Amino acid sequence: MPLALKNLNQNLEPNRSSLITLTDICKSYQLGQTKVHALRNINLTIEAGEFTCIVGASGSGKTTLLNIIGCIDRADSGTYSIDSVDVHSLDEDQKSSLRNTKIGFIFQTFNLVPVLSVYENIELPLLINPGISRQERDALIMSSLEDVGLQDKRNNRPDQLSGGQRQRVAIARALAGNPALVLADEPTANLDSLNSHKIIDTMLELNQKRRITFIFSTHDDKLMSRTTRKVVIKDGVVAL
Amino acid sequence: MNRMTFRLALRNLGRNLNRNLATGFAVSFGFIAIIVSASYNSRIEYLVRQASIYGSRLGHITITPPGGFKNSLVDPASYSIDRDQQIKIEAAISSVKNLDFYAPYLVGTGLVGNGCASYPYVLNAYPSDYLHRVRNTEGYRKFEADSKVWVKGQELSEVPPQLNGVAIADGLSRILKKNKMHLETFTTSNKPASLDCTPGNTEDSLSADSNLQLAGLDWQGEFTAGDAEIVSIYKGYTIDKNDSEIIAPLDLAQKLYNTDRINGYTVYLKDVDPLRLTNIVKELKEKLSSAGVSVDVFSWDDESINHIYRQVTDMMGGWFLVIGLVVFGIVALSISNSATITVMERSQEIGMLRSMGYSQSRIRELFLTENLLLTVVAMLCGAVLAAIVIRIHNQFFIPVNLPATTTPVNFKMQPAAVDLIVAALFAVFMSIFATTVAVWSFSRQNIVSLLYKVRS
Repeated sequence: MPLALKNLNQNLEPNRSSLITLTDICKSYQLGQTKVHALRNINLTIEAGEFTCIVGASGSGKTTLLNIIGCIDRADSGTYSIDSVDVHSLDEDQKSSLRNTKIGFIFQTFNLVPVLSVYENIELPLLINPGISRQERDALIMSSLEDVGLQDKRNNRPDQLSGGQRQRVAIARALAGNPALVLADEPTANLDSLNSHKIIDTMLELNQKRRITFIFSTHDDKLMSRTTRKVVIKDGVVAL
Repeated sequence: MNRMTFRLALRNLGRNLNRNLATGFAVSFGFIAIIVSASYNSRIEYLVRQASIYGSRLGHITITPPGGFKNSLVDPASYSIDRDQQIKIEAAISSVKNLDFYAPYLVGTGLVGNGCASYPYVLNAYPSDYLHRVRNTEGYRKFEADSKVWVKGQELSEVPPQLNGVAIADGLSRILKKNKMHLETFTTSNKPASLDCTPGNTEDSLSADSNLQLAGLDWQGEFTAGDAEIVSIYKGYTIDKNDSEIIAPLDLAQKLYNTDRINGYTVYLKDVDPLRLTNIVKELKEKLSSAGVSVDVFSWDDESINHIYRQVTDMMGGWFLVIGLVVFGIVALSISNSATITVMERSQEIGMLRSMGYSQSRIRELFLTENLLLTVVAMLCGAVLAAIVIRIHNQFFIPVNLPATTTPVNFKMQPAAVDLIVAALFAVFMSIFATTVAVWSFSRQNIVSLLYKVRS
């Protein structure tokens, strides 16, 4: 394991003060001849264990911010650190390792592998973590399934589940490796109201139970009211 | 590759079943085409090899005086081996590992007469038991089973020397109108009292007996002639031999040409790969050289004595290479095309896996496993189908005349293990190459672009 990640692992403990520190983050895209400034000088700190919601209109930069926090996109300028480790100093393999061990992703479109069972989908990120034995892997998967209430669906394929169930599988997959941080990009956008609330309930419960930091984006007012912290993005700038 | 990669690859194959089936069929049929081409190629090589060693009686190794192989028929006396050298050569041959048997030979030319007319002949003389020994080799029996070569009558070793029995090629026997052998004419009671050479009356008259008259120059340049009795008629394998060859016992030929010399040796080996005789030939050359004998030693496939074998195998090898490259090109394009479409369709999945921490190399490994699995399964199916095709094909005797030969050979398919291994390795390499090319750019693409299907 790279030295930077080793230090990161040693230092990432729940309830430690700032988990995420973004300083003067800028990101722009070239759309044809036009340069679109998605993020402008974002400064943001998120504490370990927070349940944070990023809100904003479509195109405001929510997803870009989540992508940068999740180390799947790179800022044009500024610094970003997870628990004092500068993400920009990591190479691709180190970032892959960081994502695998410390970050869980929940996508709007679930992104489950259709040919794998629920159990196997949750197993996917754990398979490439050399520090987890087969027995530990099984225990982690079963624990995650229990947390999202899908123990009895472990052998089902994604196409045999409802939208809400699929998203719960995605949550279980994101949680299975006991990450320090879970990022969810509009996790309820494809769900009805009832299922949206159930998903948020589940995430809240896990945040409290496991003390995992959750950051998710939404533009659903009802969901925003249930978070402990709300970050508003407008035209690429933190407005609140 | 871990268990999940394999499982994921296996299940993904069923995900785009039609496309994977199409790719699988392309690989299978490509592999069948390669196996069938290689099998025909091997077959032709095998037939020409057997025809050279056994049909043309080159043996595995031929020993001649320097330059003798090409010139002894024109000037046999000048390219001959005397008794002293024969003793030394035979001692050296006897020490060859894997020796089956060897035979001295003598060549000669002259005119053969039927009583009415004379025709040129080429005489090949061997010890009287030589043909019997050649025909009893496993190689000859296989060659005989695969071809329409035949021999009728008695072995030269079966008849008393004073009969002057010879074997005559079928074509020459027809030219001479001598289609009966000693045993047949010996029992004929209606033998005409005198020969009638009147045109139109010769057929019955000539075929009534099996007597021939051989005439020529002996090795001292004097006229020589003698009677011979046809005891055997055989189908000569090549056109030129079939129309001119007489095989005689060595004693008879030496008496006819008034010499105790010979023109060379043919050596037959057992339990050796005929394509790997280099070391045996080299050792024999060294032994002969150290014994003070200056001779040429050739393996049967040496271009200087068997250019037909080289030309045929080179030509077939060239064709096989062209066919192989075309087939593999098609297979590679099919795999590449399938992999490209699959990767494009699954770009979001690649993005998801990357976001989970899968590295670029792991993603490539995943797709490589899928396509390798597809290639291997398709190759196995192709191999099984090819085996069935070959089995059915080989049930029939398919007569094919190779160039300059008189007798058709059975054109079976004869797969060679080495060709199959090379083809399989090449297919696997093509699969890896085509998939890597297709997947490379996608695996390196920005994760966000993959997740949201936007080309960066």
